[in-house]
Amino acid sequence: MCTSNPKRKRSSGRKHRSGKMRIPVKVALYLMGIAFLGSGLYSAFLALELESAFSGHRWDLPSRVYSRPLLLYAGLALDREILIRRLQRLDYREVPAVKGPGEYARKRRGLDIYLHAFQYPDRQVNPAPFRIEWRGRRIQRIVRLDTRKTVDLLEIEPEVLMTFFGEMRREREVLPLQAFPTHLIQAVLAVEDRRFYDHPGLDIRGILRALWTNLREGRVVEGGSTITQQLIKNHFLNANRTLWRKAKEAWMALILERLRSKEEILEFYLNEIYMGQRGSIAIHGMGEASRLYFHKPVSRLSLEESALLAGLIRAPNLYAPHRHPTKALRRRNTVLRAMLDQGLISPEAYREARSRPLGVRPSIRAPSRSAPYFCDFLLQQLKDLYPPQVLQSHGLRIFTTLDPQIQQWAEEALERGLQQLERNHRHLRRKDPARRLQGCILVLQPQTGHILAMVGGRNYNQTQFNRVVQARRQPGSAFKPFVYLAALEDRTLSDFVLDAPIQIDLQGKPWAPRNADHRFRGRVTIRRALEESLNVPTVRLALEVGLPRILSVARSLGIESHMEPNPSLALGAGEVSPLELAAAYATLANEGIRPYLLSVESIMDPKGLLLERRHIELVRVVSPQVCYLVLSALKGVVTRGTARSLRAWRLPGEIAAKTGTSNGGRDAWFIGLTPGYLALVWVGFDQGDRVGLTGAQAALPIWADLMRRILQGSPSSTFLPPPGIVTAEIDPTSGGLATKRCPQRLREVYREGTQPSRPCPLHPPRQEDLLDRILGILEKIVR
Amino acid sequence: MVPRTAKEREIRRKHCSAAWKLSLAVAVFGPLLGACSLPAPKTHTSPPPTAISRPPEDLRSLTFPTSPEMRASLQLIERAKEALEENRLDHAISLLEKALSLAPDNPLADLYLADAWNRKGVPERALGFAQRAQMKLSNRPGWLSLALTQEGLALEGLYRFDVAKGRYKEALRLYPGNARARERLRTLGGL
Repeated sequence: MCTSNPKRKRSSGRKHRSGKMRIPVKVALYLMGIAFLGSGLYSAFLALELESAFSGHRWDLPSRVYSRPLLLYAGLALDREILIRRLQRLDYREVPAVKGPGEYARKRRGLDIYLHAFQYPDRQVNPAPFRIEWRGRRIQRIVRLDTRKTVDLLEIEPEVLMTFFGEMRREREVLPLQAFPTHLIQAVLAVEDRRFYDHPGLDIRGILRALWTNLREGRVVEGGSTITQQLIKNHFLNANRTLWRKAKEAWMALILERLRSKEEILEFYLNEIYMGQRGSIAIHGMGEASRLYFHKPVSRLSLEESALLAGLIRAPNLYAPHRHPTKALRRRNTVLRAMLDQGLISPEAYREARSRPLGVRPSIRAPSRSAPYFCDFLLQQLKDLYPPQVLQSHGLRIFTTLDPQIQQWAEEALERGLQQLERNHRHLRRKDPARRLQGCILVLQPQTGHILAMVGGRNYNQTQFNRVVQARRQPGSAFKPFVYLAALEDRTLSDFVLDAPIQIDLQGKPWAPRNADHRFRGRVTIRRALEESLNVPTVRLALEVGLPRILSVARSLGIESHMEPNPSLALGAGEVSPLELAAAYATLANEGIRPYLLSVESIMDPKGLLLERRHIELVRVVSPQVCYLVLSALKGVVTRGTARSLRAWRLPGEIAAKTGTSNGGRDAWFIGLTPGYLALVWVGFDQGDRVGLTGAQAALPIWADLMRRILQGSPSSTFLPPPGIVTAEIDPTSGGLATKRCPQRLREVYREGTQPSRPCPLHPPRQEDLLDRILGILEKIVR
Repeated sequence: MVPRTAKEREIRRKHCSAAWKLSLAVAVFGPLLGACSLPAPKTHTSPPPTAISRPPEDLRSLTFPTSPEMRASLQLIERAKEALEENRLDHAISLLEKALSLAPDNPLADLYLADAWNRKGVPERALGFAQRAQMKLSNRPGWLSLALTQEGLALEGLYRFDVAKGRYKEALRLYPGNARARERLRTLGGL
């Protein structure tokens, strides 16, 4: 029997109804829970993303390569215009009177400079004004203008040779919030987010106001995005106008405001915001923008300049002051008006700022790349320590040994010289630019090993093949000094060697070396053989000394390329790079002490932490006395030998040099040493075509043209003999001590103890000559 | 040319006596005339290197014919000496390298670089500078003695004690008051 219980029925009905209601509620609750959990997880994920972006490596900062700084001191021969050009390259601007960093002013016999601040690897230099006074071509005095004290040395900051950009090609100067002037911050907030300090990341009032303004105007004239939203959009999201992106932007803005303080967000924004273009480089942040448009650090911006930068944020290219000055001026004044309306500036300040011109620098140069071959060489050297990704993103500052002035002169000398050769010699002209006559120049300081200039070819845009480093060419006679270096260990310069036909078995084939003029001179001194670059005596000497010994000497000097110990080695038949040849000659100029070539001096991170410092390194490899003997003969190359045409250039001081012409006339070399510099010039075709000119004809004029400018005004210096070197006046035909009867006399240098002691056997002294000698001795004593 | 006839010899004798008189006149009056008419060559005097060893009282000061580059280089060396005294070796090396780059013939730059690298405990670097300093200071025995001492110190650091002893002995021969060389030689058992 079944009895119905209305209560149960009711209750079961309720149950049923409530069960019916519970399912959607449960589902809704579940869905809400899932959504809540999902959004929570997603928020956590976004928060993590934001946090890591804020706390970690925020921006890809390009690394910069710097030249060596310019040292100024009293007595330095330096043309004022050269200094001014350098200052202009360093973004200094000319003003009537210097008031702040980055300015210079011409004075009647001088120049006032207000130096930029600069962080060197070992110290920070603060901005300061200086006056440089000239007397003729030389600096007479340097005075610090604020203290009126004379300064012994003044360092002009180095030039940027190259910037390693990443794929995005962005440039920015990251600064702390304190570095931005208050009026700049006020100007930015006035036009971009006036309620920045009051909203939580989203500004509902701002959105409504923008909506209303845009509806009233019938076009989009105002955005409702807060600075936080703009930052999110620019740094984390893309510019797509989708609802999802907008929602995500708003959500992330809210999260970011919970995670970070207003100051941190503002600092990030001021460093992040896109501000225009410099050629293909995108400029980000107010710091870089200030330098781009006004040539000055952001801290020195005036009110109207700040207003212009703030105005540019909305559309940097539309308001670009160089292309659209009227629009830029209008936009700047709008910003100033907004500042006035918000009570941020007084009416007087507004009127004064509004009346001023834009004041931007006259032109914006796209960043040029100086010394491109040198920078490539540098990259190659640094690639193990700092791969390209690091160089493109870590903002390293690489200080090099390159002298930008010498580099410029070298580039000009090479191009001028090659053009001259093409003009004078029709067979050197080529229509195809890729097959043109080429050349390279390397300038070193032998005592330190510093690379001062490197020109790897005549046009980097056409070919990036760095002939200084990558080319392997026959040095020809430029190799001979190494043969003589080995030979002079147990010989003197006045010893004789035979210049007569010789036939040598060269891998089963007879080889008969000849001199360049196809003449044989009989007995010649070692000095003459080297000065006149005679092939036959050199081969004879090489065979006497032993080819392995010559190879060993060349290796100790820095020749690393593989060479076979063939007799033709003595005439430079092996292949070497200009770099290693120059390094080997540097040892000759450095009294037998080999300097390791240096291109990088130090590397710093963006915070000024020294990451690496490279030092001058020297190793004694050859006896200084033997080295001096070869150097002395190389001086003779210029005074009497194959490079005697150099005398016509009237260069100051002593010069030792060697010409080189390879087999078949494919390579023309000239390597010249002065007490302070070593410069190597190579001329040839990449494809190995015949140049058909000697080193003296093709490379020497380029060398002379370059050194004329380098040595201009420098003191006339000499190569000092090391201890253990003595001189004796000899008759070069006999090698004996010269007598009054000797028709030819030569003051020859010897290692102590190896000088001749007997008078010339061909012209023995007579009785009456003895009287003259006694008188001569007495005269010397009196003197 | 050698006179061959009696007449030629007579002319030559007359010439010789004239030359002899002229040379005497030049020898006596030349310096006076020179002092009146020509400006004295500019020189720069640098005190002995205090950082290298205690400056012996009788060590001659080093006098250079000064080019502007050398003067500027010596200014940097003065700063480097201060840094060496304060044991700021890296800074001193940086200044000295700059001084060398400015005036590559400055022997003091080499000498102090040798000192700085020896102090820093890198004898292989000190050696080259000490050797080059000797080349440049060869006619100044007191200073050469200091350069030899630096080479000795570098050689000691490279465990070449016998050669180092030779350098100290030579340093003492050139300048017996070289306390550092004497002390090192005593330590190595060379005295």
